[in-house]
Amino acid sequence: MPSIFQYSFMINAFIGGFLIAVLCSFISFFIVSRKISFIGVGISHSAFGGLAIGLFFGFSPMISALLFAIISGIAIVSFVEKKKIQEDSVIGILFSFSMALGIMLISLKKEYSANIFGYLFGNILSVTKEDLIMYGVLALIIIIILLFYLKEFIMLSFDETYGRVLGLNMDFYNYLLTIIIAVTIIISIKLVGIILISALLVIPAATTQIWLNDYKKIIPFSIILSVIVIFSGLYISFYTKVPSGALIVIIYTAVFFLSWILSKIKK
Amino acid sequence: MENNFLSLTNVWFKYDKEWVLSDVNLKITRNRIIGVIGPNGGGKTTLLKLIAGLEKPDKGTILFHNQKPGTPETIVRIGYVPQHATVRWTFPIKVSDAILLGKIGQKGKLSTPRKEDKERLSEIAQALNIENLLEKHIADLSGGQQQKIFIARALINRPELLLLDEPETGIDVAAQDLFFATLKDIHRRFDLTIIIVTHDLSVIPKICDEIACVNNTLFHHSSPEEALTCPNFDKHYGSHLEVIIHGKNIPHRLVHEHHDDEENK
Repeated sequence: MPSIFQYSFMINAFIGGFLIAVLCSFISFFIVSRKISFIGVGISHSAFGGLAIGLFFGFSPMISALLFAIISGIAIVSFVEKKKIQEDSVIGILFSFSMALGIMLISLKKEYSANIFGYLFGNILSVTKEDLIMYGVLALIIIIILLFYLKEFIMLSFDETYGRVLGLNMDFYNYLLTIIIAVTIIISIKLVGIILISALLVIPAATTQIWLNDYKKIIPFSIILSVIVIFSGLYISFYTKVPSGALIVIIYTAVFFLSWILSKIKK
Repeated sequence: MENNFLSLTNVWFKYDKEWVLSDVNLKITRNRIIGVIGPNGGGKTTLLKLIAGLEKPDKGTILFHNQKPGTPETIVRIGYVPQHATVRWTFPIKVSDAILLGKIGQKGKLSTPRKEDKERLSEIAQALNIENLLEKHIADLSGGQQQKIFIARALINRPELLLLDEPETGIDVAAQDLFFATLKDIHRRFDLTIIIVTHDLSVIPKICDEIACVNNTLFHHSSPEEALTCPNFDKHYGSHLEVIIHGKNIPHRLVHEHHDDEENK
């Protein structure tokens, strides 16, 4: 049996997996505690239209997806903040429009179908060293921002109104967090895909919150759990030849339900 | 210097096109407890928000230590506890962290707690008798305990002025006396000026040195005894009410039924 580390694409996958584990778990805490998982779903599916535009017009699909994701995220938050349209309506409209745009553009150039499948469901073979350098730099910037503004993001999630009482610009932190979510989704697309990324943005914190009720513990434990789950998924998928993204989500879902059942038994 | 503590001069404020407060003039001196009373919709909460700097007057001036509220300098010197707690109760945070999270550092950014902040937390916790709650989760507290936590959070920045909007909400009648005694204690201990908005007139004699009656404007500002016995009080208040002032050892009385229709026949 060949060793998993003989293959550079697997080493890339593990490095990428580690970056995604750290980022998604950190952000997962804010998504779960603020009950905004719909934003993750909305942004990730909106990114599909951006990918298709990039592929259709011949420039980097990841850059166009990133721009599309950020614009969608800001639009969702902006509409929700101003209470002009219900959040589920905004997401429903953007989500459908972006998917429709993507499908239309791809249908016009049929040779991109295989690429699109990789973006939708993830493909570890597609993670290159250049990707890793870009992801590494972006991940570093995101982690620095998250740590620098951690208290402000906690205040945003715990008591946004009191943050305003203290003179904090909570709108700024809200938009900043949304942009961070958008960038994290784009970084994660190649490994787990647009369809499955929502799971990594929700399950880590949802699982650890079953056992812990202190954010100072939930964030690091979510990261540790995600690293274990993602590495396990990559390792098993290598030997079983099943898609890694799907396997990671299935393992994570199993861990979540197992935790939930154990917690009920313990009670 | 004392006269410059807090002053409202010809303050007007409107929501949309409707004036909520008109021509309010009020001077508050240091180290007093002021009760703000008035009917619902009379502008009490708006008055508190204006003093906290959360709203800006459409006309007139509010000065706290000769500065307009809402600036980084005044925000740390004015503690504000809103009427309705806006916290996400399911958020995984311990009481001590929830209190320390309100600590403002330099440049208006939230700061990482230092040794002196933790000492301040101990001091506040002792004064409010919440030492045994610090390690608990915020959602596991009773209404009265939660109210004390929000007051503790407002005190963490060492304010000189504490604004409380209906702090008795959520506290049962039996615990209210103890709660107001605690407020009186922190007023003395931390050298605080406190402004309490309330619709419960029985709060006033328990704790207040002054009373400000607001019904779209400030129609009375005096000692509680003067205000509650003022001949035109109920007219300005906008409701028929009879104030009964009784001695310390006479229990509070509750009216169970009020048959307006029968009385009017």
